[in-house]
Amino acid sequence: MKGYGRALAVIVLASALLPSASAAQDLPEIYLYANDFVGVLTYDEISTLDEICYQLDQVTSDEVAIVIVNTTLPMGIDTFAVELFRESGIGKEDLDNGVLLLVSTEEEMWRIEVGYGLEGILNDAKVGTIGRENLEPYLAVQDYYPGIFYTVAALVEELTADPDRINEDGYDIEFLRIDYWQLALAVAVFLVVGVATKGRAFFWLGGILTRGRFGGGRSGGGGAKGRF
Amino acid sequence: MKLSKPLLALIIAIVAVVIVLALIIVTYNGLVDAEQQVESQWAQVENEYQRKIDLIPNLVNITSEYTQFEASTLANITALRMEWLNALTSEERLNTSIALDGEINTIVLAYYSAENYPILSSIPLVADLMDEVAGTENRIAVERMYYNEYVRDYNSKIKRVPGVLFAGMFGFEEKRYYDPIPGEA
Repeated sequence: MKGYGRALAVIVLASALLPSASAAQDLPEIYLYANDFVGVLTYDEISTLDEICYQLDQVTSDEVAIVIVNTTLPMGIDTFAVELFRESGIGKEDLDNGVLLLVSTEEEMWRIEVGYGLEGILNDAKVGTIGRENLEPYLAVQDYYPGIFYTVAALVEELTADPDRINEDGYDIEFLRIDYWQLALAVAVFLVVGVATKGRAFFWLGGILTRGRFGGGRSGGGGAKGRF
Repeated sequence: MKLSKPLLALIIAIVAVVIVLALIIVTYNGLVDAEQQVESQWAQVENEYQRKIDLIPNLVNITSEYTQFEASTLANITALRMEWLNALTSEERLNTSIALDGEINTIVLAYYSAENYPILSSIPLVADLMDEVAGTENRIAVERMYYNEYVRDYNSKIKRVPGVLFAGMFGFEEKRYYDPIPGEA
């Protein structure tokens, strides 16, 4: 009976941990608009980009995510972008109005993935031109911030060009969407795992607390890519 | 009140029949939904193909003007486009589309190769068109991935209990994955 209980405990623990393990399959977990996993942007630069995307979200409900990674291999930038888009759910559900700006520093490639709902405004050729004109000249000389800043600015310009898309009153943005039962379970599991891993697991906690930031939008592979 | 034995047996029999019927209905509806998803996703894949077929004349014109691709690649693409347009069954379209993928991919890859990219991407006409072609190519890959996921869901539904019990009875057959590798399709 004792062995039985222990086996049960292991199963419960394993099943509680499984979702985060499968989600982490080579894909970074993103919860802010601007995410730099390489360290080429300063804290202030990330905050500025985050603020711009936040404002855009407020007036048009479009969600722009910026992600900088070392590499997208073995998936390759196209698959990586689609999977990350889906995993993170960039854009509002049903509207699919998300945009992912992905920069891979080691491969020297960029991709702008456009959600289904924005394909009409941001067609492939337009997005490609935005990337080539704003990103490539700066990224080619490792000047990441201006490249990304001007690209985001160009995207925002396109997305706000039509006055009908702008909500004067502003959309409500949920900062944290917490399911308290999940939170309680997560805390319990993390305490156990945290002790077992001598504290390393506590670093993951941030990701769980802020999950649910993006709205659940999808993309169908539209957008453009390039080299720098 | 005490029920007589035959009455009790009758009630149990009726309840059992109702449960079985309910199970059949729920399973059947589940299979229909899964099949519908597979079919509508296939339509989505064909949409993206149509988009690509429409781009081909442009692609052939511009690539032959600005770049030195093998003439045979472009001739093949034109021929395959005709084949696609004349294809009657989705089986034929599938085979043509797989061959077409290979040919167009050669051009897309050549465009994005490091030595060509800076030169070709500086010509706006070429760059825009390649964005469209690469975007279409990528959309097809994505919709195909979604399609295969729906097929996987559907196939596992008809192979697992309770689906497996009724799938044959209602004529639900296993669906084929869309495999982009020629020869394995």
